[in-house]
Amino acid sequence: MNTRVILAIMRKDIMDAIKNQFILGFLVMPILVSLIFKVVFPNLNTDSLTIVVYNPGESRLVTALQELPDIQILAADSDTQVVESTRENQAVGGLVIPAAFDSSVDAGEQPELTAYLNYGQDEIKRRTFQRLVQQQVVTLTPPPANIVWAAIDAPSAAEAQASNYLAENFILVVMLVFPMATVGAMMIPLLLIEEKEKRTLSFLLASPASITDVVIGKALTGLMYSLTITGVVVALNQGWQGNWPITFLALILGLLFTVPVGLLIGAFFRNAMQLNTWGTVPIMLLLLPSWIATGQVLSPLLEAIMRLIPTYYLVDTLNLSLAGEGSLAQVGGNLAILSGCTVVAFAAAIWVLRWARE
Amino acid sequence: MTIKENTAIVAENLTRDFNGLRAVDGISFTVEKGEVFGLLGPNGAGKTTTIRMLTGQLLPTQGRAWVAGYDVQSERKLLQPEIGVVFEHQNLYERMSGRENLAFAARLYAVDGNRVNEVLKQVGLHGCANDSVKKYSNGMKQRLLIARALLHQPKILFLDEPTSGLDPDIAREIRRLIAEMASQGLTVFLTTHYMEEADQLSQRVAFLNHGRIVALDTPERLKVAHGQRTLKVKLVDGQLLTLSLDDPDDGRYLGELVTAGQILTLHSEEATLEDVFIKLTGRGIAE
Repeated sequence: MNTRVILAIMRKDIMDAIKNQFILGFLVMPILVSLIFKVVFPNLNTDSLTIVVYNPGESRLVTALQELPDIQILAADSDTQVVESTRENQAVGGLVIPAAFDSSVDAGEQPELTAYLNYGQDEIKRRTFQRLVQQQVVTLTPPPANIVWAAIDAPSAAEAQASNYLAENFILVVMLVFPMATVGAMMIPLLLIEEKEKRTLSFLLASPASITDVVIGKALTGLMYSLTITGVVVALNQGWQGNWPITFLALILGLLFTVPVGLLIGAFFRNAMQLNTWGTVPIMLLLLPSWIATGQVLSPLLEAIMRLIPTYYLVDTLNLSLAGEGSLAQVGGNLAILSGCTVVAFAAAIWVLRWARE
Repeated sequence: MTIKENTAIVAENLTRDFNGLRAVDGISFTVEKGEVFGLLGPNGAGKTTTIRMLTGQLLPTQGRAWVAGYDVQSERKLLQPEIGVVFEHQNLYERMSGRENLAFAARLYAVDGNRVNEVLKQVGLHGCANDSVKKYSNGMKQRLLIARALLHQPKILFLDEPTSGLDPDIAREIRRLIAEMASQGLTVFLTTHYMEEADQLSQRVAFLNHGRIVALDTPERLKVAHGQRTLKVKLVDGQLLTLSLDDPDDGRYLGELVTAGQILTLHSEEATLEDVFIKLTGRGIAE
């Protein structure tokens, strides 16, 4: 393995790939879709949260919330008024803080705190509010106070099921998986196939580059583009919401999985026409879980089928982490399976490419 | 094996099979340093496979080869900086400019960037170096391929059908470039199916037919050994005769014709490499 050669190939591919209109289209598409999505759902980008608070004891918890950027606090005179005012002012939620809240906390007790969630507001804001309250309570009241969550205009059970996966989360998951699938199943193979088709691979293999250097150079190019586009999509869609460390970890593992998949596809197809004709099949397969396994309860058969596709575990993890859930214990199995699939795919890609070389 | 100091290439029983078919069948030869060696044969004879084995792109099924003193199988990494390859296909990055193509090659070979300008000038592409290769003519692309092969100043240059498919004028220009490089002491290994090209450029040629070398010598000796020295004679009555210079009867008859003043024109006609190839293989090079 020659680092200088790998970097030279990577640099060449990064510059050359964007001159290829086909590849450029695949790179730009997720970003364009994200921008269109922002135009269609502009309220998602409203960062400001209005919270109605009944705070008879003038708790420092409210002071801490007031100090946060983009938070508007409306005062209420009673528990009942919190609910009414939240609804009237289209606030994301309300807090009812007992008069003796701070003194109970200081005494080492775990006072009860009622927090109302307004289901009339969009999900992202609601989750942001939940996260804020949890963070502030943990910071200010060790041991944490007991938060009782109550609903305003709560949907029916069926509605709740659907509302857990609102359109924005569905589209966000699709758009996070999309660049991985397209870069993995289309761009990386195209980079390899072009070298074969234009016979520039012969030039590379007669130079100080080995087949391993070529493959690693392509993989790094794909990874770089994937990371950049995924990063832009995350940034445009507030993808850092919820449990973002798990989201980040899942995305990295997803990117690492799609790279060897791309190398495998590149080893199998002989020319760009074959790839253009059949390359959409692996893309669809990789994307399928993001369309099917987000926002629906799957039948056992469909779930069993989805579990055969490694990106199902990525999608399942993203669904949980974007919703603020997905502790490591909860998604550890998913991430382990995704890592295992990555190792197997890499081993298969190396074997196939060596076999093709011989 | 001990490689002689003045030997650039040694092939020993070099063989390559593809899916049970033998493309190159136990060929052996040596190429001296500074020599232009031509490997001649029709399409499918095994010329490109031979070059791919000698340049470390393809492992031989049997046999061994040493290029620039390095074993092509076990010392590939040491071999690559010593050789330059001009491929049969114009395998350039067409979306990139000529300069970018060479700059990429310079990075692969860890060559100073200034060398890019030198070789661009050497092949006469300096003026259009920043144009996309897509816009280049076939001749310009071929010159760029040669520039890329020369960039890292290799000791041995492999040229696989360097003038195939080019216009006669451009082919002549490419041959001039090859001759110029050879005159500077570069060892050149040339494959071609153009007999005249091999005759003009090579000091020695090997005929490859169905993966086997059927003859190897200087073009002159091959023509003498396998060809016929003949004269084309046109008589005053319009009759055309072909007389062999090696046949005593034809010699006597020619003397009589001269004495009788019956000869209108007289042309010597030596054998071509093509004639020798047909004689040795029973088929033409273009087949």
